[in-house]
Order: sequence, then structure tokens, then C-alpha cells
Amino acid sequence: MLRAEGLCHSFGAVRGLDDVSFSVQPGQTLAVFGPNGAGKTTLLKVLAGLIQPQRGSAHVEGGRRVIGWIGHQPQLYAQLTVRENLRFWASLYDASPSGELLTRLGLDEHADRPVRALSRGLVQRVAIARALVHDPTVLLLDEPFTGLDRVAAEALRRLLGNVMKQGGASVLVTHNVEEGTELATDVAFMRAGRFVHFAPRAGRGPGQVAEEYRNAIA
Amino acid sequence: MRSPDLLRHAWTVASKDLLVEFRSRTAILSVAVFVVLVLVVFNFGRDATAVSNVDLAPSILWVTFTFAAILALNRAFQLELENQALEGLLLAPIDRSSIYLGKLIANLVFVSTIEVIGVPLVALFFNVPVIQYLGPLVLTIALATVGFVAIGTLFSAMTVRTRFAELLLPVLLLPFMILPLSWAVLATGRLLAGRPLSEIAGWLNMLAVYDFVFHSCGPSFPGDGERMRMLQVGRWITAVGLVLLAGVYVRALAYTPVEASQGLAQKIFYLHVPAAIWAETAMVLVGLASVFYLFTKDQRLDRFAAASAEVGTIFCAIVLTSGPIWGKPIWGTWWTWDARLTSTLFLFLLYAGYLLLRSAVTDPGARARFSAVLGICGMCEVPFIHLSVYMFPTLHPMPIVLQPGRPKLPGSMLATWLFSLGVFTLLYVGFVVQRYALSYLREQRESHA
Amino acid sequence: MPENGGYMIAAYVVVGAILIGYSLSLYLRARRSLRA
Repeated sequence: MLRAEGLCHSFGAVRGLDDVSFSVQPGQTLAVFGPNGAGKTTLLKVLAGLIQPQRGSAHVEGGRRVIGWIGHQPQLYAQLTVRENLRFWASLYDASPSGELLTRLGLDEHADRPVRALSRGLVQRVAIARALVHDPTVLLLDEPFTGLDRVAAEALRRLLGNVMKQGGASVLVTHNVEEGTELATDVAFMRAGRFVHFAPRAGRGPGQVAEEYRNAIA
Repeated sequence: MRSPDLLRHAWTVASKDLLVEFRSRTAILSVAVFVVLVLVVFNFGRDATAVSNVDLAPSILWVTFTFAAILALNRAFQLELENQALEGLLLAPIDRSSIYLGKLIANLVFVSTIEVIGVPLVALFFNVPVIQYLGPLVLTIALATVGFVAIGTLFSAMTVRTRFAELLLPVLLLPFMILPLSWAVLATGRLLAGRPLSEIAGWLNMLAVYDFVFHSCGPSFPGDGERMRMLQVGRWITAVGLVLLAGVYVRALAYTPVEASQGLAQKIFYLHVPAAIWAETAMVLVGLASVFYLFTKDQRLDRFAAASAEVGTIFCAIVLTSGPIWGKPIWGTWWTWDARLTSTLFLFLLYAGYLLLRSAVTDPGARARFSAVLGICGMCEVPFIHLSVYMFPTLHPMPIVLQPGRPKLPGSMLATWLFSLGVFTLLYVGFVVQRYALSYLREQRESHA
Repeated sequence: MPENGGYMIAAYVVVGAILIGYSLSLYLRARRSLRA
């Protein structure tokens, strides 16, 4: 469903990606752990098509239309209402927002309020709604739980679970090993642009994976 | 991507922009304040006996419209940055051109709204006969607006993710907007003074060509990293420039009157001066890119500086060859050590030094830093070159086009000169884009090695 | 009016040659980079 082969990309003298290859099948979630500067975000950007790799190739079945990206940036227009924001982003994907998504995230009563009038917790939930408004089957997540409050984090986990159950695939990038392991079916450690570990999770608990990560990266 | 999708998505982007602006109203209020200020200040500030309304009105109109345009341009992509939505737009399964087109449409709507309000206001306050010439006036305004908004949107897209984007944008834009603006002001002035349409037709034609070039390359302008397309766009612009250069040759040699005191050799002026302007401007742009590079360490600025320097060298070479060929029959000597010639030679040496330095330093980081310093020196040299003619009176003619007051050049000659300047502008852009793409290609080759 | 048409032709030829020459140089250098 999602495939990378021999990805190489440098920014001047810095190696962002150094011969990265892997694939993710439907129903799988790949969690990529690594310190800052390891190339995790670059990897996601290449998968999403935002960066053309200098060498190698990345392929997502279905193209940009099926990709949902959740990162730090809310990507919402402050002056527009929740509904207007969702309608705008959905129309770029030739879709229309479903009422169900709003309800799932508890946003019904706020749907017609401008985003700038909402509390931070609410904005986070609207951002999740925006990312999922076009029913993506491939999710690319860049530190998605950073700064999320409990309600939003729970909602995100539930929605992620749904997408996986329906045969989607996702790549989750984070430096929080415990949190990421719970959601993962496959685990990778990344350092200086390379995968120094890549294997199915196979029943390992978050604590165990965290230990292995510290040993591998230290 | 198919055309209906392209337009549909462009309209989605445009309507979103307009809706956001409508809700926040920041840009429209700034322009409204500016318009009122301009009208009041110019109305009470001028001496009615010295400067007639008809002389003043075109400049006021275009200053107002330009301000509105620059405001819109700054807002256009800033909006995406503020809301951190740019990445979202790039992730969506839409053609990049839709984003450019959408922004272009929104900018045009904004600027047109200002124009629709501004023209009647100026007509009212300055008592100029707008109704009489409404048709041609609307055409002139439409052509010029479409032209500089297109260039502006293109540049705004290119500078959006650089730091100091709001400062960089108007600075980079200036040399390219001066042309359509000059044509527009001249055409509007002639129109309101009751001159026959045939006189302004030439300027309208040039505006139309300018529009055509920037509209066709705008949407297809490649993003970062799309080296092949950048190269193709550069080649295309250069090709158009060379074809139009042939047009300049024909017009200058066959259809422009001969200047009586100097004879045929005077026609070298039509190539020499535009080349000189761009030789100087290219160095200023090298300097500015260098300054911003030292602050941001953005590789793209270094690449641009290198490209502008190489192209500037070529234009400087044109100045230093055409100059003496012109000087020999007129002054009787190939060369003289007067202020302007000497400082232009110095500019050439600076260019040559810059290129030599770049080829001598292998480490990219050091090369960029050293070049930046040299580039800044070069930029400081330029005002001296231009002003040297005033400070040290010599053989070299005083400026007749770029001087305080109106250009002292009869209509047909001015038109040829402006046409030539437009062509040299196109050639500068085409060359720089190709040279920039070339750096990219070389870097790719080096990283594989 | 002085007879100096020859200088005009010379200048126009030289300028044209420089511009066309540089365009060719850019074209050839890019081709070489692409082929590598």
C-alpha cells in the first residue's frame, strides 16, 4: 500500500535520508522512533510527495488523494468557522464533510463558530477533523500527540483505530517511544537518516521497545 | 491535471481567500486610509498653477493601485503562513498551478475593487474627464493590473517561505513592476490629456505582451527541486526574449527617427542603456540576496546571487563593448578615464572577481559566505556609478531617461527605449532562471559523485 | 549628419553575438549536466 525504495536526500552537507527502504501493508502501523534531526519528518514529507528525493522512490497507492497528514500545524483559517474550514479542505479533495466526523469529535455545538474563538483543546480536535475529513486510508503522523489534551488524544487514538480496522495503513513518527509502541504493528529506529532497526512489534511491550531504543540510539 | 479541475480548485482557493479577507478586513481598511490620505495630501499640497490636474492624476491613480496590489500580494501567501496552512495546500491532490491561479484571482479581485472605487474618487477630487475616455481607460487599467498582479503573485509564491519575505518581496518586485507601471502611467496620462488612441496603442501592446509572458509562465513555474521544469521555463522566457530582441532591432534600426546631431551611431543608445541598467540592477540584486543570505543562510539565495552575477557580467560586457563603439565616432576616442566609464569598468572587474572567487572556493558554505561579502561590496559600488556623472562632469552624457523630472526623449524614441528595456528585463529573467536551474543540476551531480 | 552607420552596425552585431552566445552557452552547459 505504501512503499519506499532506497530513499536518499541531503540538505547541503547534511544527510536527511540515507538509503531508506520499507513497505507498509493494509492494516499495519509503522512507528518510527528517533531523536531530533534523525530525518523522521523528511521521511514523512517524501512519502507525502512534499519533497522529491534526490535518489530512490516512494510510492503510495492512490496518491495524495488518500493521504491524511497530522502534524503540529492545525492548518485552519482563524477567521473562518469550523464548518467553513472543513468544507474548504474537503472540496480540495473533491469530498464533502460528514456530520458524523463532527459528532465523533464532539464539535457539533461549535460548528458555526470561528476557529479563533475556540479554546486550544477544541482547535486541536478541529485539526484532527480536518485531517480526516476526506476519509484518508493512508495516515502520516508527525508527532501527533504532542500538546494534545486528554480528550483529543483519546479521540485521535479511536479514529486511528477505525482507519486501521478498515484496512488503512499509517506511518507514525515520534520521539515518545512508549506512546507510539502501543499503536504500532511494526517498529523502526532511525538515526542520521538510516533505519538502524526495523521489525514487527511481535508482542513487545512499550517498556521493552523503549529499552531497545535507548540501547540502539545511545 | 485537466483544465476544469484546475479552474475549479483555483476558484475554491480564491473564494476562501476572499472570504477570509472579508471577515478580517485588514487589507481593505489599510488601503482605504491610504487612498484618503493620498487624495487629501495631493489635493492640498500641490500648486494648481504649476501642475495641472491632468498631469497629476495618472501618477496618483497608479500609486494608489500599486499600494493596493503590494498589500494584497503580501497578504496572499502570508495568510497561508499565519494559519500554517501552506503545507496543507501542497499536500492536497491539486495542481500547484491551482494555488497560484487561485491567489492570482483573489489578488485581481481585491485590486480591481480598489480601482473601481479609486477611479471615480480621483475623477471627482481632481476633476479629470474620465467618462469621456472610459473605454480605453478601463482597457489600460485592466492590462496593467493583470500584468503586475501576475508578476507579483509569482514572486510572492517564490518568496513565501524565505525569512524576511515581506521585505524581500517588494524589493525583488521593484525592477519588474517599474516597466508595466511606467507604461500604464504614460498611457493614462496621454489618454486623459486627449491624445489620439494611436499614440497609446504601442504601450498597450507592450503591456499585453508582458501579461502574456508572465501569465503563461506563472502557473507552470516549478516548485523547489523541479529542476527540469525550471530549466524549461527559463529557456522559454529566453526564447521569447530573443525573438522580441529581433523586434527591438527592427524597430530601432528601421522605425525610429535618426538623431540629427549624432547620426546613426546614436541608435546604439537603445541597446547600451538598458544593458547598463540591468548590469547595475543585477549587481544590486546580488548584493541584496547576499545580505539576506548572511542572515538566513538559505541556500536558494546563494544560488540566485551566483546566477544574477553571471548574467550581470554578460550585460556589463555589453555595456563595455557597445560604449566604446558608440564613443569612438561621437567623442573621437575609444576610451577615456572619466568617472562613469572607469566605475563601470570597476563593476566589470567586481563581477569577474566574484565569479573567480566562486570557482576558486570548493567548500559550498565558505564559497557562499565569501561571495556574499563581495556581492555586498559590489552593490555599494552601483550608486556611485550612477551618481558619478553628476559629481564629476565629463565627456559621458548626462542621464536623459533616468533623471529627476520627465524623460527628455521624444515619443517614438522613448517607446523604442522602453521596449528595449522590457526585452532586456525578459532576457535577465530567462538567463537567471536557466543559470539557477543549472546550479541545481550541478549540485545534484555532485551529490551523486 | 555624420556618416557613422558602420559603428551602429558593429555595435548591434556585437551585442547580438554576446546575447546569442550566452544563450547557447547556457543551453550546452545544461545539456552536459543532464547527460552526466
